[in-house]
Amino acid sequence: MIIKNLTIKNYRSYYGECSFDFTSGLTLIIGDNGDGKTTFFDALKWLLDPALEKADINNISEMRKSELEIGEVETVSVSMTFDHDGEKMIEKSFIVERVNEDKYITRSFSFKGYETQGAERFPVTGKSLIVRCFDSFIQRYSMFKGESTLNVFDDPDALKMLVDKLSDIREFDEYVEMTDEFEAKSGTAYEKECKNDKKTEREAHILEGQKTEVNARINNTRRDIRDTEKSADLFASRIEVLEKNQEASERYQELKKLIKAREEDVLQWKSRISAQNFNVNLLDKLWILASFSPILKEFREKASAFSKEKRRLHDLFVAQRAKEEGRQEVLDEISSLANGTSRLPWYLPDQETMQEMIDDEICKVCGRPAAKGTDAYEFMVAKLNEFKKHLEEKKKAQEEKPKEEELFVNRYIEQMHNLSISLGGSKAQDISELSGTIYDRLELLETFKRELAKAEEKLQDALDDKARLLIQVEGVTEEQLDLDFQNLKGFFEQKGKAEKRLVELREELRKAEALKKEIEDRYDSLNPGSSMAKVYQKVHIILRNISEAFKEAKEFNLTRFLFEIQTLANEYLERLNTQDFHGIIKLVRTSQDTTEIRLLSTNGRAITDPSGSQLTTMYMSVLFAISDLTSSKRDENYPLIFDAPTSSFGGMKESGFYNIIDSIEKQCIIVTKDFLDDRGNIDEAKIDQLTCTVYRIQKEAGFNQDDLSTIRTIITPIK
Amino acid sequence: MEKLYDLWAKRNPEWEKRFEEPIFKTFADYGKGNTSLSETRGKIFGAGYEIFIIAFFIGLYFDQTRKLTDDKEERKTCGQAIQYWGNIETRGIRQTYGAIRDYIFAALIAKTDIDLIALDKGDPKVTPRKVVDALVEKMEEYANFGLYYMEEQLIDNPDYFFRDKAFLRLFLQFIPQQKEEEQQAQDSDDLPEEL
Repeated sequence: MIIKNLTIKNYRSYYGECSFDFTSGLTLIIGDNGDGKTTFFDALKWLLDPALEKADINNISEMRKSELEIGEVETVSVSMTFDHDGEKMIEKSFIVERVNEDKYITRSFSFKGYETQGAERFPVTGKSLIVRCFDSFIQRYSMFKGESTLNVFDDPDALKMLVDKLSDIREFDEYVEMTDEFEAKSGTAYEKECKNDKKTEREAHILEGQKTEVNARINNTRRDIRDTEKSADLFASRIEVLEKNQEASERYQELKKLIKAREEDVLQWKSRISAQNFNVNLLDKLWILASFSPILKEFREKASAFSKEKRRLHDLFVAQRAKEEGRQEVLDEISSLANGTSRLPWYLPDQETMQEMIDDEICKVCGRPAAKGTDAYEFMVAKLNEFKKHLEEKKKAQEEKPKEEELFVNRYIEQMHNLSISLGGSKAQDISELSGTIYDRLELLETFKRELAKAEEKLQDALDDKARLLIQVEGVTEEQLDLDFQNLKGFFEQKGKAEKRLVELREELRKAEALKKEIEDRYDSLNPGSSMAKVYQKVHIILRNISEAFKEAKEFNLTRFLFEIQTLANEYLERLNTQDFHGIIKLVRTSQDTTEIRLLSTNGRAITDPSGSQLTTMYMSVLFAISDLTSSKRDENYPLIFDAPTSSFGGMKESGFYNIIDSIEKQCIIVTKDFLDDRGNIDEAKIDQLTCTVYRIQKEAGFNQDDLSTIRTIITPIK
Repeated sequence: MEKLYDLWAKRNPEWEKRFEEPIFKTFADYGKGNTSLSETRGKIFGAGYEIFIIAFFIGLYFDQTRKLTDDKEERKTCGQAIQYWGNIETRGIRQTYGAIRDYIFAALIAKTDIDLIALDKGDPKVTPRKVVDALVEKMEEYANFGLYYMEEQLIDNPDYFFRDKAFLRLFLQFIPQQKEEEQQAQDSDDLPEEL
């Protein structure tokens, strides 16, 4: 099928009749945002969707609508002329009528088709023509809106369905099924005969038992293989996801550590702040005494005053007593004078002088001799004795004198004074400095608070980084990232185990199948006695061989077909990525009988996180390959229509890509804003390099950006 | 002769029972006996006497006393004699601060009208017991003023003492300006040290 022309009339921004002609190669439709690219694609989809069989008032050109007079009618239509076993045409249209200022009605919806046979043109229904020439299944693999819709092959059944649809392999199925049935029936018949045959009866029963057993074993092993493959696939896909997030996981771990460290930092500042227990410091650090200095002073002054007063009173008391003692002695003196004798006091002369006078027998007071035995001599001896007696009496009197009465009996004031001294000096100084300490500590607390605020800010930064990371790996939870890190190793081990088990199971299956074959051979080599059994034997052997031949042929064809797709796809992939890394496309058949497309590195390792452009070129290559094979096998060709397929491409890759597509002999219609610079100007140099047809679609100048009815797409053929 | 200080320290001053719930049990672990950190968590102070000390200093710094109710039934004690105040070792992060007793005693001597001369003379009208009675009464009256003051603050704003550093802030108001403070330190240095 080759699309030759598409005409859009009064469909949304396409005002009036707008026509595109297409060649069998590449056609580019270049337009900027809002210029009508997607409308082009939507118009085509509307036309080609047989399920859409009604008028939609939203599809009418606003500009045309606004021009309609009341009662006036207009046609809205999309039509396509194409070659597919001769020229054909389809057209979807309806009529719109303005019934009053604000109301429009639609009617006369039609979906018509024409096909040409020879020189004649026959009308058919549009629906039947589409179903016949370009059904929704083919459309699914032909029309792609945006890059992301290219992933149609992610559906595991997609390739199988394509193979079924596009290759003739499916035709084998009927034969495989039929010959399988013949083989089974002839086998059953033969086995039945053998069991009834006396000669083979015993062995046939044994073989039947063995066959049942081996069949069961084969089924079980196959089931185990399927299950194990599923597990291995599951682990592989998990590993793939994990590897995709590996960088994020590692970054997450780093951030987690950082957050933990910063949280500890915050906690440390918080605990430093809370350790500043200012209320209990009033007691524990005696801060409550910060204002105590005046009271301490008062106390010390009071203690000092009491002390002074006590000393004063004591001194007074002592003086008084001394005075009283002095007066007694004077009285004593006065009383000795009163008895009429004139005598020296008892202490004159002193003891030494008296002894000297007695020894010299002379009175040295009056100068007269005082010989021994004289009165004068006796007087001196008596005087010395009196002196000695006086001394003794004084000493005795001193000893016997009653204790003097004290003024103060207690020493409480001294206690106060001692306390006053102990609270003075450095202690008084400490108290006077307390207020300074408190204010210093309050200032320190403020510093701690500022540090805490900084630490909290840093923590928030790390938390923000984490949040940003989680946004980047959209859909992956924090727990998952955490788990990923731990699980990656585990999944590798599990996958390894599953793969090892698969090898074992496949070996088991191979052995069981060999055993089955052996049992069947033994069945075949039985030598039944009855001629009927012998006939059955031969028929069964022939039918089994035929059945196997069909199965092998089907398998061979399928493998070859997939291999061809793969080879072709890789050729395209290489061409589309001439100067870039592209990898190798591998079509892998699974045990579930589906086929997956994988992009591998040349060393056979899967590319876990291919870039957008790698994926796009991979899918396109497969599409081109399938399209090639379809045209060569079935002599059918389908256009490939892409709306903005290269959004993930860089400038260089983009031009290379178009140059390649341009050279491929395949009808491709690409709607794109590539080749436009920031101001919407077309890059003519690049366009000049292409050989294809190029259209520029553009909003007509002078539109009002708030009024849809002023928007109109103008089509300009550039090449 | 037993020291006046020791006689005083054996006493257990009283306060009005009405403050038990709103103040003693709210800010201290009054009535819990031995206090450990885990039990005191959430309370600002530990033993009940800590609140008494706080209240005493409030009265002292305002230099205001208030007589306690005469009804003995309406009074309670701190649970521990003064000699143990600030000594408890099982306080976790807290520190002992027994030295505060010396200062309380000194303040009471300074502020109580007692005739120490008569006491030292052995005047039968001025016995150590009577002097200590007067000191303890003064102490209770200062604390009583402080407790009423705290109660007033709580009536005005129930959260007053729960705010950050509330007790410290209360005492910061008594701290004189820096210059006065230096002057006072100088004055105290001038005091005679010897008998």
